[in-house]
Amino acid sequence: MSAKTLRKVKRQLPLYLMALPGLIYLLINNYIPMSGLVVAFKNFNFKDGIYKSPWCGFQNFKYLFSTSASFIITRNTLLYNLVFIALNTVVAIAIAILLNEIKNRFFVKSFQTVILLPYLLSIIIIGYLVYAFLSNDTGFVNTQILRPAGKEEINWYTTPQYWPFILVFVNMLKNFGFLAIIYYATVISISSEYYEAAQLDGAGKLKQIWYITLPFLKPTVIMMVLLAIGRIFFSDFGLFYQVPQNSGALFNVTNTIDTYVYRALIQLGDVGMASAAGVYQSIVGFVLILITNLIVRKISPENALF
Amino acid sequence: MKKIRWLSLLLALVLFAALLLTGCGGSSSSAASGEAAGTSQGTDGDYDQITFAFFCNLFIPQDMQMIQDAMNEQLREKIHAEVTLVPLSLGTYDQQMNLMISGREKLDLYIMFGGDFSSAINQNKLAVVDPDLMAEYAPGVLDALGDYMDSVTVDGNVYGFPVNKDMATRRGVNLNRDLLEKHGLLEEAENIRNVDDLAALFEKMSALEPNLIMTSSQDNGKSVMESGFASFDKMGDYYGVLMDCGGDDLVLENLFETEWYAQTLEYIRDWYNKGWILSDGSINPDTGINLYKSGRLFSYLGDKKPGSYVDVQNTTGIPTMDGILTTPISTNDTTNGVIMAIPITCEDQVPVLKFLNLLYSDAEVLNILDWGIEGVHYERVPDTNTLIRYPEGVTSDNDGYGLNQGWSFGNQLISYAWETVGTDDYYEEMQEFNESAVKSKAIGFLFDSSSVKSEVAALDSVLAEYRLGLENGELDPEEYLPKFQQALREAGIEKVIAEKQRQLDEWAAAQN
Repeated sequence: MSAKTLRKVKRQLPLYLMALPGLIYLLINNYIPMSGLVVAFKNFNFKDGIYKSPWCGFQNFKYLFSTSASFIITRNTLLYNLVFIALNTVVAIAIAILLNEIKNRFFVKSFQTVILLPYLLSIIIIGYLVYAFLSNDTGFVNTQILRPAGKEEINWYTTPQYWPFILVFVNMLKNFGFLAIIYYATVISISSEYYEAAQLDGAGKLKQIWYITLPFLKPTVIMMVLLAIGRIFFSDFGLFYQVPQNSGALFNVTNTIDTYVYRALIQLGDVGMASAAGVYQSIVGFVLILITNLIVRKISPENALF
Repeated sequence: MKKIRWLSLLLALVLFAALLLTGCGGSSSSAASGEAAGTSQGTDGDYDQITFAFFCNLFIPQDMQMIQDAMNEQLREKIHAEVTLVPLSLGTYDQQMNLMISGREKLDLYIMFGGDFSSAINQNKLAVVDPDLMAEYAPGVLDALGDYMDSVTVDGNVYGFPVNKDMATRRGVNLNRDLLEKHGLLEEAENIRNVDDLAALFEKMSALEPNLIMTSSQDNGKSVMESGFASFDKMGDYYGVLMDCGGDDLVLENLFETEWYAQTLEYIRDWYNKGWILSDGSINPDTGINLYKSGRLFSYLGDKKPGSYVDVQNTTGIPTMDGILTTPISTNDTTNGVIMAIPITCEDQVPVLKFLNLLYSDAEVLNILDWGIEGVHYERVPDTNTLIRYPEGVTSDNDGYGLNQGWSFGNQLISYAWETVGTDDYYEEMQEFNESAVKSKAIGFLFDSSSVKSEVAALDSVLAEYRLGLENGELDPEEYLPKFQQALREAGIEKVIAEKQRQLDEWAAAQN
């Protein structure tokens, strides 16, 4: 090692030390447990423990693919997540840009707080809020809107066709605020000189957004979307279980991989089968990240994650 | 400049140390909550140490240490042992137990719901109770449980002990007595013997009180069918049941394809269409007692043990009477309500069996665990043998114990009863009720589903989709019952029933 590198390492030592706890945390929390993945391929029992229980091949994965529900849960998980990613990104970017146009600091702060609030609420509470709107006999929609308008009341929790919209709406309401704040942070960091220069060249507001704001946002958007795609085979359990109140009549449009696994195993409590579902979801997510990153690298190499 | 660099290094080190310390602190405190025994173990080494974990239904009582001390005073003298109580909240109980057992922590005894018993055996969580030690050290347990020991004996091995309490179940209905009196229907209500009688009452009541909903299931998650109609042995999981509790032979049937099931669904659907049943019972979180309390329901269906209307009355403040709809039956699911089991982490069964022996035969010890300390948490009601109440100045708000979980420990029938049960003979009535029940011929048979667990998982998810909607009358059986049956067949119900039948036949052959 040359004296120069040595000096460099010495100079950066505090930084390495500061990173150390985080690295140790990652190692303990994310990497060491990975060896436990073997449990997905084992017939787990408590006496023999994780490593000594007998192997059982892909037996634990069978229930995920054996019925007609397999298609429905995969379809629902994928399609909902795609819609969530697309819609939340668009809405969040729009809100971030609009926030940037507000010059009154008081209003900016209030809007920020208001749009972030749903993100901080527990999904269980949101489930009850939705119930307050949609319940049969006492719900706001039935008693205050449909009944006075002379329309027939709707039994929301047994009528599947409305739920794709309700779920997308609820998810957006809950999550767009958080994304918007992240994008807003990027937007305000754009130097005002660009805008001033654009104004001198006669660019209007829309042109400024199109040629300055959006290109600056691109790396952040790509990163957030890539992260979201890695989780595309995982669904927000609370959203699909609590918000529809676990209503069986809605399963066609609300059943996802996570809720299916929960309902299938709540009685059995089989550790191996539960892990099998997790392994399946993670591997598909991992492959999808690789593919998406590959595509990003083809189109704009400087924005790829790795 | 140099100074600043050293400062940042120092800061980083401090941060790191703090992190390590909090990390350690966290783990040691969780270990301490897991086994507070560690400290006392060293000092009182000559007493046998028993670690006993149990769930607390509502909250973990604050006077737990006081209870433990009082019990240990008795245990030291009676069995030369000390117990460490590990109360855990019900919400995370299963996970905690899995962690304690797989982590080989000191644990000698724990309680579980009967529904988890079979999988606990299959997953090797439970130790086989040594038959010689059991006969020698726990005769009181065997006396108290008698034939009920069959239901925890698998292939000749005993894996636990059911809590002795109400060991049978029957379906019934809680009726609002005020409304019955108001409309002069009291006599009719007293003569209810089956669902047809109940329907006749609803017919009249719904005409008189058009704004009331007549009834609902016991609670959200249970169906109207289960709460008011079911009188068969569901054999644990509903896949392959004994419709008449095995009256003549032990032939399993697919419940969902039986004539009885189709007719019952039609019957319930009819009630639903008449507006008698809560329209969203499957998802309404307040189904059952909460809506009954609010006055929106005239009645609600549910399991009825002797005197349970008194409980309802006390909780809701509504004068209530019972209607009984089915004959009591006793099955594995009812006898194994809660099981006290010795996990594989137990190293010495002798002190545990001695302790169990006390819980099943020594009211003095059991009452401490069930109710707390006399004079502090309860006092005897004068001129009664079994009834207790709050002492002067103690209420449910400032009671330091109030676990109120006699149904989860030992032999409830020898313990005290809270004065609200209304009769000094409460446990005698319960004993009679238990004895009056029709006993399923399959008591003692536990299904080992491990060879068909993919099918069972798929079936469980089909059940979640259709069962509540159909059995609450919300879905039209004409359209959805065939779909339900088809989905079950697709998920492999026939294979599961065949496997269960094979095991049942083997078990029956081994009995003779």
